[in-house]
Amino acid sequence: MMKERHAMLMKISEIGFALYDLILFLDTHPEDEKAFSLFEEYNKKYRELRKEYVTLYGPLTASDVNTGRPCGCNESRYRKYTWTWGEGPMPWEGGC
Amino acid sequence: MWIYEKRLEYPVNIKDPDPRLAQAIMSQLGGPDGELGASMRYLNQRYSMPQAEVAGLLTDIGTEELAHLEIVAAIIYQLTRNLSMKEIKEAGFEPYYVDHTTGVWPMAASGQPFSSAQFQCTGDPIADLYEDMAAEQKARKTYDNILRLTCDPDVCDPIRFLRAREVVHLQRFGEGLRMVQEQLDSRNYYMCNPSFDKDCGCK
Repeated sequence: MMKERHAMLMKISEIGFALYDLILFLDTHPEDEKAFSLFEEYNKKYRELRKEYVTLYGPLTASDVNTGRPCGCNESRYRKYTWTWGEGPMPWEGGC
Repeated sequence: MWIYEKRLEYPVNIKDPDPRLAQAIMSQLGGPDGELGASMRYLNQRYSMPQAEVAGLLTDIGTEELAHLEIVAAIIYQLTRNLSMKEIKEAGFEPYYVDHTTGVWPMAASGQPFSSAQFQCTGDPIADLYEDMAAEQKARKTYDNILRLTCDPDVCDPIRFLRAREVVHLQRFGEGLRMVQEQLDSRNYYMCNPSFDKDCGCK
């Protein structure tokens, strides 16, 4: 499961990076239509992937808490109302 | 306000500790051209930036610099993880270790603590944007110098990412500067400070 989680987080990072680079470009090129349509495309992908990740593995921001299963937990341990923000490895621990 | 997203902007997975290298890379955390100074420079300059679009650019680049600060901290953390006393002594890591153990504290490679004296907010948008372009070049230089110190691919990979971002930020700041200049007197950009002087033709 860790491997799949990692792969999905990498995908989020890739798309998240493309999105952030487009944001900076649009800051100084607000009328660039091609950049804007790319922004819309990546933003949609980013939101979809993020939603899927959060449901499967736990929150990426505090407001994601309880939109899905707690990080690293199997079905039997699953409880709907749990504070899961503190769970899972921190980003600097590596592996994600 | 800001919201924390629990992921690095670029992954850091270092297998082999190297406290000597960590001490050099520390400069990009709290050194004169480091990421802490970069984020504080841009985020503080926003208030005297007359054009909303350019204040927005400073916000977005300043925010990305906070993500870079976290990447550099992750590199230092992983390079000093699980050190033995023997490794600390052999690498000459004692001066850092004695004050901070293996905690991550922003300072320059020389041991100078982080200081706001390392960056400016002049209250003059033209001067500030030139400073920002210079800052990106200086940070790019530090990453180039770091890349000469190591061949460890686990370290070089995120450092190369950070270096590439300096180049992109330089480009964006150059465009921001042009956006401010276009609203000023094209024969003399310095005739007035649009953040301070009244009625100098700026929006």
